[in-house]
Amino acid sequence: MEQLSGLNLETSVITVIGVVVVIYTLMIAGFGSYFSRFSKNINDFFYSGQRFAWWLGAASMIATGIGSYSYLKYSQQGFETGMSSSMTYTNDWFIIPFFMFGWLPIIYFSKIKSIPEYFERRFNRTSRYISLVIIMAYMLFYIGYNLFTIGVAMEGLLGIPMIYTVPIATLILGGYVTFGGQTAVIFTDLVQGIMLYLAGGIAIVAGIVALGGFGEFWSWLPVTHRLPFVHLLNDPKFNTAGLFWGEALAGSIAFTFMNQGFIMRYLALKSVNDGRKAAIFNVLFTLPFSAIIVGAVGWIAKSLITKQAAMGGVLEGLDPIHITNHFHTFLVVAWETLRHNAIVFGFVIAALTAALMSTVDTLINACAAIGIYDIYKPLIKPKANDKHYLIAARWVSGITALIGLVLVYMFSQMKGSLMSIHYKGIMIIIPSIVTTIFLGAFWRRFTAKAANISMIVGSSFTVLTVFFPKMIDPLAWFVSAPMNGKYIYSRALFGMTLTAIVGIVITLTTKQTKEQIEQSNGLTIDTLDYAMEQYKGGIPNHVKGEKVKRLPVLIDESIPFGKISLSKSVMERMKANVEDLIYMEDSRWILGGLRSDHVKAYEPHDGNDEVKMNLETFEKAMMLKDKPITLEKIF
Amino acid sequence: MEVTKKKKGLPIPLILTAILVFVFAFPRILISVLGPGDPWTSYLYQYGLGSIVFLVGIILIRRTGACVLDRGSDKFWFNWLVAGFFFFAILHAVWILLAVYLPVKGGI
Repeated sequence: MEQLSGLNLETSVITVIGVVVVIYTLMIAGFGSYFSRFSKNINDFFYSGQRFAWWLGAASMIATGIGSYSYLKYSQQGFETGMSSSMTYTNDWFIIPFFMFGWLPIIYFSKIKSIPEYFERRFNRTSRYISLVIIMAYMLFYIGYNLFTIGVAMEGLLGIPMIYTVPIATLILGGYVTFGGQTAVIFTDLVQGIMLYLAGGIAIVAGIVALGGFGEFWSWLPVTHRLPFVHLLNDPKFNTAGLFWGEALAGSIAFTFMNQGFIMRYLALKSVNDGRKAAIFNVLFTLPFSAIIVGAVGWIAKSLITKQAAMGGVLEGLDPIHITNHFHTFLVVAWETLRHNAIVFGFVIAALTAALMSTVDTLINACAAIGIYDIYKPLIKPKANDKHYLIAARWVSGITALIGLVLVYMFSQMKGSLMSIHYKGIMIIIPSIVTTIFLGAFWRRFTAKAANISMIVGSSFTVLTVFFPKMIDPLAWFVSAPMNGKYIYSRALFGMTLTAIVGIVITLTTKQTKEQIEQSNGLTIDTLDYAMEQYKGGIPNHVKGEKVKRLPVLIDESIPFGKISLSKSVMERMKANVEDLIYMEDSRWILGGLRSDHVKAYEPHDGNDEVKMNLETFEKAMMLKDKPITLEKIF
Repeated sequence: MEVTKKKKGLPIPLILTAILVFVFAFPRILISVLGPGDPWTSYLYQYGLGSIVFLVGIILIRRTGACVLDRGSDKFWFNWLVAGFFFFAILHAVWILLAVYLPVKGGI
């Protein structure tokens, strides 16, 4: 891959950029490590005890969704095909009904810790381990890919070989994820999300200013580059037909339904309703906005180059811009439009590092969750205390980071653009598992035998299409997708279709036992009432009540652990009954639920509006003395 | 264990056949009428086929009892779902109009 020698950075400039990046990285690592104190047990470490507010989850998803590769890949795509680079960020809505009312409540109420665990509870142990292999492949692919892209960027920019920069980045990441856990990841990503929006925004504003304003930017952008959609068929690597099947459906389902990192974010939230808020916010606002942040520099690049050519080869106040290697579009344009300001450019580069860290930290934490809940606990050490699992989790996080490091070598040996390497890999890995998740969650009749066979057959044949692409021809013809033998997205459609056909045929020709039907209670969309009942430990109370704020706390040891006693007026305002599930949190909204817990309503007291609970309940919620609390009935 | 009461069954084979016919015929009609390079072909391909997926999702969550409009906040979220679909559809349509009809110096 061509390096970024075109920038010709002086040693002093490289030093300034390097110092800014190192300072930023160390500050973030220190910030993340601070939150390790909030991981008291294994559940806290991975899921933060289902307690955070929606906005915290949604904000931290920004950073999780944007990887270091995003800036480079989408700027390149934006430069080559224009605003259609935003397609992959704005085509997720079609599957949202399935997620918001189906998959989210299923995994939340059944208290699933990992997707493979869902497979065991829904089907059997064989399903668990088939899915585990596929999901680990998916996540390790992303970890290695992120580390690789940051290595390539740093190599081109600073001239330091990847062999040095990637291990250092891995070491820092391993450090704060290993010791911080999910709480550290969420709070760190909150800051990282803000920083990378800020840095992306700086690069965009600088580009627009360099062009002479938004009007100039828009008018110099060719019509093809202004459009939100790319040609239906032309480009085998980027076409609307393929993107719809491979990205809008398979890719979106994978990212939303089985990306353990995202799943863990939702499971860290205080309720399904907050999960829905986070999902809506993420798809409706965050993703489109992120599409602009990561792709706009590419659009600006096209406008700049077009204007530059029309003006005779140079624009006022800028050096001539030449983008010989499109992969470096973001770096070249940002450097030029920021007028070679090393400190500001250093901050932008730090954001690239931030994007890497925030994506990889989530994935490492997610891999560790699977490693503990699906391998270590059930197979190696079933009965150990939380402290033991916490130590084991930290080891697994470290090992995962190391595997990601090894994968960087594999990526460095691959040929082709980053875009093609990315989607070629993902579109092979995900089809069979997303189909099985879908059939399992939305079709109660779907059997374990069908799940296992269809996953194996689906995955095997999808891999085979790499060597025999002709197998995809009939399906590509059926949906009017390009038929050129260079299938990327249509491969996912092939894998999904084959998996579905095999799964449906086997299900219809096999019978479910009574036990198997019972086993799926609460794990399919039509048994959610049962799931809610199990989650609460009683009949849900869906009557809408008021959120009651700023109530004083009174310690009363006569109240059982895990319960709170409220006055009758507070119970009435909340429309709560005895034994209803209630979420209590420190009234300072800025904490986002850091100090909070789920409790049950005890018999009401006759006093004022104070909340009575015993000391153990108070301490478990990490409440502070003299700080008022806010209550919300869940159901 | 009591699960949500099932409503009258849908004619699944018939619906499936209709969907397959639509998936096969709709893009061909689009291509023959507008041509593969027209931005509206890409737009209608995505939203035409996407609306089928979205509609299946809506029917599924309603019929299985996962979304009960008079329960808790379900109606609120359901309205967001429908509004979100139209938000993206309108956003992309306006975007195409602005791209095509606003003056351009940078060529086609």
